[in-house]
Amino acid sequence: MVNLGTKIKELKERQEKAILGGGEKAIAKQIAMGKLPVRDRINVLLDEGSFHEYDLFIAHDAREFGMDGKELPGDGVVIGTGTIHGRSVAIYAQDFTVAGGSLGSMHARKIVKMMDYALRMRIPLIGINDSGGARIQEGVNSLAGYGEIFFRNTLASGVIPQISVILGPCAGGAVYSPALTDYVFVVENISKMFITGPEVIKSVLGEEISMEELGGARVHSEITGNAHFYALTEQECFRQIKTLLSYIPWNNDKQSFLIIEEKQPQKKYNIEKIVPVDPTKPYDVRDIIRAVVDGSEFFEVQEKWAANIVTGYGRMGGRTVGFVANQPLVMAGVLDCDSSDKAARFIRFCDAFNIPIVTMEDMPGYLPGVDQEHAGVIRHGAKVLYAYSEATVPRITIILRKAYGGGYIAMNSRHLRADFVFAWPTAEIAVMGPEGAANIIFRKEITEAPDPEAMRKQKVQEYKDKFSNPYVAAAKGYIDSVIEPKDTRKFILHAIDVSKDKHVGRPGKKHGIPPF
Amino acid sequence: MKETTNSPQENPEIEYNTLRIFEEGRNYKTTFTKKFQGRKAWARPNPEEIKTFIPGSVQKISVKAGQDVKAGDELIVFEAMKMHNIIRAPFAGKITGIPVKVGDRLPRGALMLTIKPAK
Repeated sequence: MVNLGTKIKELKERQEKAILGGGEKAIAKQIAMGKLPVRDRINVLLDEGSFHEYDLFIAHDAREFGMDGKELPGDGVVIGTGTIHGRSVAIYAQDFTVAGGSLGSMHARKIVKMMDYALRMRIPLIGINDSGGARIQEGVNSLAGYGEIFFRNTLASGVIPQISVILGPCAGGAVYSPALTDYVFVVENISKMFITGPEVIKSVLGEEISMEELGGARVHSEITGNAHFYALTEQECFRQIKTLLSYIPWNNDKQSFLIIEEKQPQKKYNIEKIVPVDPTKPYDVRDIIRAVVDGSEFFEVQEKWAANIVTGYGRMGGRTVGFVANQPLVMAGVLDCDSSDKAARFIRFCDAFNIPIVTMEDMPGYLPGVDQEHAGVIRHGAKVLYAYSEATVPRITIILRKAYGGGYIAMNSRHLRADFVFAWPTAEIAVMGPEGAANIIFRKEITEAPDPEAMRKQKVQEYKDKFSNPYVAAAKGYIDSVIEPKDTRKFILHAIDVSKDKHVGRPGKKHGIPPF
Repeated sequence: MKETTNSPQENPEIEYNTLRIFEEGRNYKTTFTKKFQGRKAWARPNPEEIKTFIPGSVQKISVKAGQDVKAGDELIVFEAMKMHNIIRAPFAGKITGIPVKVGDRLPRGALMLTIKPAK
């Protein structure tokens, strides 16, 4: 006799079989590589017990090349919803134990279902990538699947946060979904991303390189800039994702979480002792950020790539603030192709998701060099100007020390519509450094003087006295206040408060054309 | 009537190259961009060589050849972009060579110092 009990028993049997994925042996192989089984990954990342899985019984529909009789549990991907910090998120995770996590048309349809859901419900989308690539037996249907994913990544961009976690191979066309999302997380020894692998490179160009050297976690977080966060283990990676989600809002209509409990910056970051008055001396600009944010907690984005500019999140008065800061500790804090790309992208994320931007400026200018010019530093540098000019979130600039030339304009100057520009008394706002400027302006006087070196020194000093200070810019109203370093937090807090209902108009258009 | 052919002709004035994408794959007759022709082969970086990361000049040399150093020790003060950048030892080891002297102006990627890791 059929009763509910037997029906439930059948369901459970089917569930157990599907959840086993590619089988215990395949799972053990993954664990031996330092990887967690697919559902463990989801359960560790989400709030405990919050995961609800969908489409567990999906069956692939390939008929060719002997695929007819094959069973691929869940078609190699797990999808569902759950919560992080008590708020809903949509997630998909590829399962390498099932046909190498390869993407067939039903696999893609599951991913796309979650993407549509995330966009409709205005909740963040998290994608865990662990796949050998397209399912070759499914031909163009597999490619169609990728295309559907990429299109939705683009539609959702700027509406909901999209996070990609690379926990295995992600090669060929598959890399473009992470590339279209907002934040990419990688893990040492586990993440591998490239368009063409070492085999192809060797056969075509004769260059020998390992997978790790070509597209490992370190390469993408230090050299290519494709990744934003680097971790040594999957557990550390999941903690980073949760931290990121504590700073950013759930969609573009919302504000970030407000933390009520107000924390003061730690006493050990003494803002008056960090920046050397001598502009040739380096220091770590992150200490300035730590000296002004709540609890001195600063969460850095793309820490190792283009480290001559610092980007990341902190809170001020409980609200999330995005920081962009020149880093004198690395390459003198110059702007170059990579640091321009890094800053521009971060600014656009903050603007899309209602996060005020604080810019800390201390930079000698753009990096000179044939390689930079030929790499298109004009086009890359223009991205910073574009991103700042376009941003309508509250924008505040603190000029700490050097603000020279094009860099002064680019780093959220008054002229690009910064809401507030403050300068420390140590600020030097000029077209270029005093040495270079004196050599050009007083070339004749210097060369014709009986003692050219003495004359040069005198003229450099003259220029320094006149222009290497914040008061020329202050006299024009280009900066709003010259402030004491110790008042920096107070001024930023007030500026953010004043601009919390900021409203500015922009000419109507379909979209602008940023210098991609 | 003269017979004409519709098959496209290669322009005899263009110098063609051959590009092969896979070892067993097809050869494509095509032309190369200047950038592609000027590309440099990738070379595995040597961690024992400390090179300039930016053009600049040597301000101070704080170590001698043969000297043992700890990770983080100051090796060279390198002036670039109006900044006295401190070059520190990436790991503990022995300085095996310093091919530069104070005052040298160096381009990007120039060798400043060699260091052998301690055992």
